[in-house]
Amino acid sequence: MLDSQIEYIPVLIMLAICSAAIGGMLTLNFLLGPKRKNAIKNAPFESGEKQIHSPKRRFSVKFYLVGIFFIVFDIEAVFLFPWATLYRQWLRDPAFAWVAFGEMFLFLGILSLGLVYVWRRGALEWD
Amino acid sequence: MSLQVESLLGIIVFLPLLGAVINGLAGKKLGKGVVTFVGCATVGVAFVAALFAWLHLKSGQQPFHWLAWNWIDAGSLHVNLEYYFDHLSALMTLVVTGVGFLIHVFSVGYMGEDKSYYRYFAYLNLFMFSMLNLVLGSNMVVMFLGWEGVGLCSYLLIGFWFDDDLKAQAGQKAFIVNRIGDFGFLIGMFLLLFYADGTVDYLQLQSLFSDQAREVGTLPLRDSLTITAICLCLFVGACGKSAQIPLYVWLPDAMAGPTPVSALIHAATMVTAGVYMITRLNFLFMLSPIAMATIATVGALTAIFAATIGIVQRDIKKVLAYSTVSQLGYMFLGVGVGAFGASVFHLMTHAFFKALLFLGSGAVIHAMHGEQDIFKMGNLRKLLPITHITFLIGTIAIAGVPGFAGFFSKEAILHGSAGLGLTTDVALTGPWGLSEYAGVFAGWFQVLTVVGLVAALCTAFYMFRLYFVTFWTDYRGDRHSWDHPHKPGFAMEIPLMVLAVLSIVGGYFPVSDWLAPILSRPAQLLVENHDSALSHMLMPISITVACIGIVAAWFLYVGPGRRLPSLFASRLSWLHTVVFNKYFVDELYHGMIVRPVQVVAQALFLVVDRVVIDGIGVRGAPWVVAMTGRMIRFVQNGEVQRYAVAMVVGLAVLVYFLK
Amino acid sequence: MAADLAHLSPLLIVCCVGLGILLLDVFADPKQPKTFIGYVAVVGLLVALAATGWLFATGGVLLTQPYFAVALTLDPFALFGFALILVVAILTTLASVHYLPSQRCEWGEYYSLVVFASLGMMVMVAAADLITMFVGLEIMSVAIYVLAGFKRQSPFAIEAAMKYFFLGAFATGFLLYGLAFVYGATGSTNLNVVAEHFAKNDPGLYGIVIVIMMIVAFGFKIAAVPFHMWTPDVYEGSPSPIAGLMAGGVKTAAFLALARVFLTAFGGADFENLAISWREVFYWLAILTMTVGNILAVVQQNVKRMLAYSSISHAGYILIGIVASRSVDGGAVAGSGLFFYLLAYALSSVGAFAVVSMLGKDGEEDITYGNLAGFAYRHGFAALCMVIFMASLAGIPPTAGFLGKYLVFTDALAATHMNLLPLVLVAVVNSMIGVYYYLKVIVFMYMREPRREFETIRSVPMGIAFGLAALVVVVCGSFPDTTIRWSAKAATGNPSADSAISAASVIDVPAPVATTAK
Repeated sequence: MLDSQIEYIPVLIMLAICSAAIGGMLTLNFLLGPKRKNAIKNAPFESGEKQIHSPKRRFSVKFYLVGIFFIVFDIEAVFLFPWATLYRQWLRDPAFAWVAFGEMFLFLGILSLGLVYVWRRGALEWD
Repeated sequence: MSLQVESLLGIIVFLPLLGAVINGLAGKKLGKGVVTFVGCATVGVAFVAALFAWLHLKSGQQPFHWLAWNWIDAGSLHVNLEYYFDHLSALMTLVVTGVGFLIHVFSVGYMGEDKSYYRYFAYLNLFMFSMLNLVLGSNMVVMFLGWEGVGLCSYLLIGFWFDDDLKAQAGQKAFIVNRIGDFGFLIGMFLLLFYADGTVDYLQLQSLFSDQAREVGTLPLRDSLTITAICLCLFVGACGKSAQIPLYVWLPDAMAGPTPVSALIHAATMVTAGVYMITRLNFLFMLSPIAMATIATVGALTAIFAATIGIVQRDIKKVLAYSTVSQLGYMFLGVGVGAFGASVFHLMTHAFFKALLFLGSGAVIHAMHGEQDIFKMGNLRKLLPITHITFLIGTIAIAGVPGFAGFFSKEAILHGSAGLGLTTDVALTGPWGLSEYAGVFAGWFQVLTVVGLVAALCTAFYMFRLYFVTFWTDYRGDRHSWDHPHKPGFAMEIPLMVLAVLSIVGGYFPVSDWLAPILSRPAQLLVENHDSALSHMLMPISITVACIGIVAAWFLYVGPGRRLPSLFASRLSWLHTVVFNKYFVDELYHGMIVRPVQVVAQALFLVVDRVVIDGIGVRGAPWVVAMTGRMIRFVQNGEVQRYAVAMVVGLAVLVYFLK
Repeated sequence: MAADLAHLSPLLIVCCVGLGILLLDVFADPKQPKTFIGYVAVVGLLVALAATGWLFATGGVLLTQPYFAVALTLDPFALFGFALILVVAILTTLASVHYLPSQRCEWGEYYSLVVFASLGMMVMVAAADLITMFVGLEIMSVAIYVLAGFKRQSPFAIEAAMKYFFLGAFATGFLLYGLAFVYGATGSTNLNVVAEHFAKNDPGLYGIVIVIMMIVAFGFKIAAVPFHMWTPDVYEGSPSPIAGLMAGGVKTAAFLALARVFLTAFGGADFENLAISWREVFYWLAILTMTVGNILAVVQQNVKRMLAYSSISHAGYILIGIVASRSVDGGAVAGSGLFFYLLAYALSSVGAFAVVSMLGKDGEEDITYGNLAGFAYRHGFAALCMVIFMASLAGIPPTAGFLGKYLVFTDALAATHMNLLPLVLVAVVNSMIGVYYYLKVIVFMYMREPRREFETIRSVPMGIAFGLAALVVVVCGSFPDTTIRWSAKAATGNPSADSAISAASVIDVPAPVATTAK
């Protein structure tokens, strides 16, 4: 076995212990825990206040939509950072630097196409 | 000149296909006249072409090939859609196109009022095409093409009147049973392919196995076992197609189809495919004495078994169906004892007289407004004089009366069987290892010969019973049919007359000599050594046997013993019940297949089970359905969690195996 | 660089087409029907197909730039896959243009999703690196998840999409685990580097874990038993043309990717020496898959579910091709039957689903055998095409399906590394069973009187789709020489597992990996 492989053995052990602990606790809890349900116990507790309405109310789907857009464009930034930090090194080889430059802008271009699509589709408008 | 002769094969094979295409695609719009013309003319021209090709061969020319196209020609793989016209395929082609043409003509009258007239002719032409592929193909792949094709057409034609559930079911049954046979055939073909290193062409295979045959005595055990396995698998295929024990059950049910179809497919041509295939591969089968003995035994058993069932059947077509099964048994007995020529001879004569009998029965049924029970007929010679005469000729031919076709061919087979039994002491050693073949099974073949003789007795009896009850005695059916019979027209009577002539003169064709060139050296040797004492005694015995059968039938059904049959039936009611119900084989299979009690129920049978239950809707064992359903529902209940669990279980099993 | 871009043109064109029609859709008049977008997609895909054909004719190309070469391989193996995927995508699109409005789910995104799914598949089959393959797989899968639920007003469609998504994510998890273990064991995800590593080092326990994970992940995509459970539900709920895309395209891509990963990266001798080699696993999976698929197909009443189970059983037959394939010394992979079979199967199933798309109108789509009754008398051409597809799937000559089976079986019989005769026998038994339910379709179409008027979609492009598929199936079955040659070419182009260097030499190029990843 390679050294690099041996390094992972603790991880495996850790994984096993974690799974055993979590699985064990959940199982024991399920098996041993007393279960006496009544209406009061099942009510959600919010600082002693009675609830006004059910917490299971729906959020508008637009909320998730905007959330997803946010994530998508966030990832754009995530990719930009390492690219920007490494770009200085790549400048040593101008030919490759141009390729890297082009690739990033291609990526940004595709993303902005996505933005155009989202905008035209009307997904940016709340109503 | 030779170019023209070769392209004749193209005409023979592809004209019927053309007819099928025209009738199938445009038949509805073309009108009856055109459909009739296209349907019959294509086959007729194919017959004429076959005659020319045969004359060419007869004039001493070499067998020839015709390459339709290079189907696969890539790398090491070569499969051609190629046809080969040698003595065997010439004979088969003549029988197929000739009898086929007559039956097409007969159908014009018989099916005249059917609303799906064009569909009928399209199927019939498609059948001709498939059958010609089967007999003319120059390699196993083309034969397989035809083999599957005839099965499909047979299925389509049995279920032709699909509005009737029972008939559709008969089609299904034929299909499923044939699947089992085809499965054997395919396995055999793949084994052969495997063993012969991808060779599919008959001639190449023959030279390959002839080389081996030279050392058959020293053939390694592994090879001889492989060859035996190949032969047995192919024989399973032959059993399915040619209705031999244990796969014969579909043929009697197949009588649900239109009667001309029964005559063409289930008597004259398709069902003989197994005999043809074994004869074609005689060089291979000769290498496996065990397979040959199996074939002979199964053939003889089928012959006697089906003949006894035939004695008590009441349905005119059922009697003929069992008689077909029985006669096919003879042919297998023939190939099994190495009398390939005799078998093909019998195949040919049988095609004549059985087609005649079926068409005759078709004319009778047609006249009687669809009545098939012979005990509701009688005295029909008055109504249908031509049918009567021709039917009588057919009956005499099949009963084995000297001078008629059936006598010679049946005689040849029994001669082969008896001769083989007595050749033990003849020095048949040499390089062919035939002593092994004849020696080990010597006594056994004598037994089979006797079985064959008994079957001949039964045949003569039940065929004449059929004849007497139908055409003599008093009429027992309803008045309306008697007063207003559908008299057969010329289209129906002419084929009957032609076939009647053939049933007489067919016996004088020297088929065995004609086929000599296609036999492998061992098979030829076997034939040459057939001459023996018993085979000379055989002829008087079998003539006596035929006469006894005929006289007995006369005595019991027309003569003074007319009360005896019902007396027998009541006194020996258990025996009658057993035989009348075909030894309960259908029920036996039903029980075996539908009830998965059998531990041995292999995957195949399990599936047949589902097919039977689901497809045909047999409500024999509802709990099987329920169990199956529950099992499927349990895993396939639509719950995504359970699907994931199945995946994890799969994973766990993998882990277990890979550990 | 420029040459590389030219060589990558099939992928680039498909990508641009996808983006282009996405914008075309949002800038077009929303009141207009979206049919024209479908035609634009078809034209774009045809251009990509032409580019693929040009590259295939040159026999595979070398990507000179290392940053391309580490990720993609454009050998004939990949190009064959490209062509097949593109054809399937084109036929799917053609079958869809009039299907969508009749099912009241005509949104322009459909076409770009089909194109993106095809792009993902193409990336998968061309991947030289497990990460690239994973990216391709995800591009494909995400698009397919959406497409599966495209008839979003139908609860069945939602069910199909959700099921496919959940289980797909589950399977992807396995793939990623396997990938992580590959990286852990070898320090690389490049297939050739992995192969080199395992050529020198015993895979040991890692090998077992990797093989298990990969088999589960791919088993899901190819729908091998027991990872097949989603198939009938998803095929049933999806739009019929998409079911065709899944059966014809996704499965093809997954099989080719599987072949490449296992034959290249895990094809080494040491993998044979594991407690049980992956070939043996696939051997048993093949038996299980075809048998279960077939048996369950027999009992189906719904034609789409029957086709789903039939596609499962075909996965079993194709697995035989995988088991029979073997990297040989020259770097070639024995067994061109695999490719021919994939072609025959993909076109037959996409065609069958295109015919099925005809049935059902107004958002309704419950296609039982009964609904096929008398189909032939009203739609002679469609029924004829369906006969061809059924014959091909059943393996009846002279269709491509027969030759596919023939070639795969002969490959298996010719295999010297394992005795595959039992496997072939099981396959033969299964294909005999299969004929039953395929023939049932034909019987219902031709031999039953229609019970009630059943509305159908009359559409010329749909007719062109299944007509073309039927034509190809028959031509490939009747004049198979060219196709067999192509298959053989594709087979020899697959990089060898035994030596990564000789892999490249098959296509006369130096190995790309040497310059990277080290």
